Amino acid sequence: MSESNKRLTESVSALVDGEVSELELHRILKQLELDESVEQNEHAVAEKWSRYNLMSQAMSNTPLDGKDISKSVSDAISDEATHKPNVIQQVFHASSVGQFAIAASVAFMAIMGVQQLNNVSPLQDADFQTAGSSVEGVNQIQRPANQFPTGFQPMIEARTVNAGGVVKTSKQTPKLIKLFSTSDDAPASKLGLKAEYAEDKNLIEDDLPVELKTNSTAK
Amino acid sequence: MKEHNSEPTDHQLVLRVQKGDKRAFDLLVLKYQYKLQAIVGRFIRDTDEVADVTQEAFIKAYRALAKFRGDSQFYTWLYRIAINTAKNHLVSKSRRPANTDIDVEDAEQFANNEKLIDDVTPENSIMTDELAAIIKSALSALPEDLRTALTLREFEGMSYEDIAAIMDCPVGTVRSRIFRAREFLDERVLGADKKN
Repeated sequence: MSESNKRLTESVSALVDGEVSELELHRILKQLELDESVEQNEHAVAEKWSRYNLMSQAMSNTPLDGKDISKSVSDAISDEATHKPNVIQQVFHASSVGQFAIAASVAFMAIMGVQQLNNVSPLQDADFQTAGSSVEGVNQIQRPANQFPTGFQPMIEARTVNAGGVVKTSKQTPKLIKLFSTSDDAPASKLGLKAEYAEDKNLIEDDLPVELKTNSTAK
Repeated sequence: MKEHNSEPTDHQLVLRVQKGDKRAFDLLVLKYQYKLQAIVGRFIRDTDEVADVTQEAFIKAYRALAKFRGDSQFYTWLYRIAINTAKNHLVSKSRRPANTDIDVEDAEQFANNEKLIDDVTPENSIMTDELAAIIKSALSALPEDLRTALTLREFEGMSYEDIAAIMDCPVGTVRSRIFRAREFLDERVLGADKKN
């Protein structure tokens, strides 16, 4: 007996006990149909199912008698009309499908949300490393301010050296949402931030918050 | 001894038939054909007639299955149809119903009715007794773990989950043990059948 045949036969055994999934039952019924086209053998699903049930019934002392009439009944049934699911079953099925669709939509939205957040991770994205680095990318970092959740304030550590050789380290939480706003009436635009960066690419930020420093330079 | 509970399987198969899968009904026929013929055989002695009446009962059951709501167990419902079909057959042949008149309402208790079991035909008895003897012998030859799993299932009617808890093993192991035990018994039954 092949491995797949063994698995299927194990499913038949579990079906005797009512312990199979719908998928397993589907496979069993499909194999039952395939077996009809080949010569009958003792490993066929129908044969196994029949013998397993016979053994089970014999163990419970159930009276058994007669001959195999399964083929003649099956032939007679094939001439009968196929049952159609009734309205109640269809409604139930439809509501199940609806529930599944809603659950799938929620899961999809959740995944998309997580991906969006990962894309704009402030500690990994070079776009956010404004202090002490080139500002060539300023024009490329235009993206909607509403990509960040409300109140999102990443910590940025800036290290700068002034003329006197004193190292200054400052940890601030700049309002980055304003920095990358593209709206005309957004605070960053009002401050003339982009213009300043464009004019002086060697600009070094001495102090934080960045927003304030840029603002004072502009003035 | 608890009776083997086959209702979950029957329910699953009945739903399939009601959704239009005729192959599921083939499984129900394979499962109940000998049991049903044994019952019809209490009314009708001729084995060919028994087969015909049983076939008719299955066809009636198939046609009526759309109306089956599961208020009673499937096998109880099927037995009632079989008994009615057998009685109608006798009436149509202008013969009185067989020696025992069984109330249709009591059909589900039919197999456990001792008076009726005493009435079994010799052929019926041989079939059941021989099979039971082969199975009994094979059961005693089974490895301990396989025998325990199958016994708890067949004689105590326990679910795989309950057996797994008792045997302190995963449900998958229980399923595999029961399958291997059945395969062991099946080989013995087939071997005996080939000898005959």
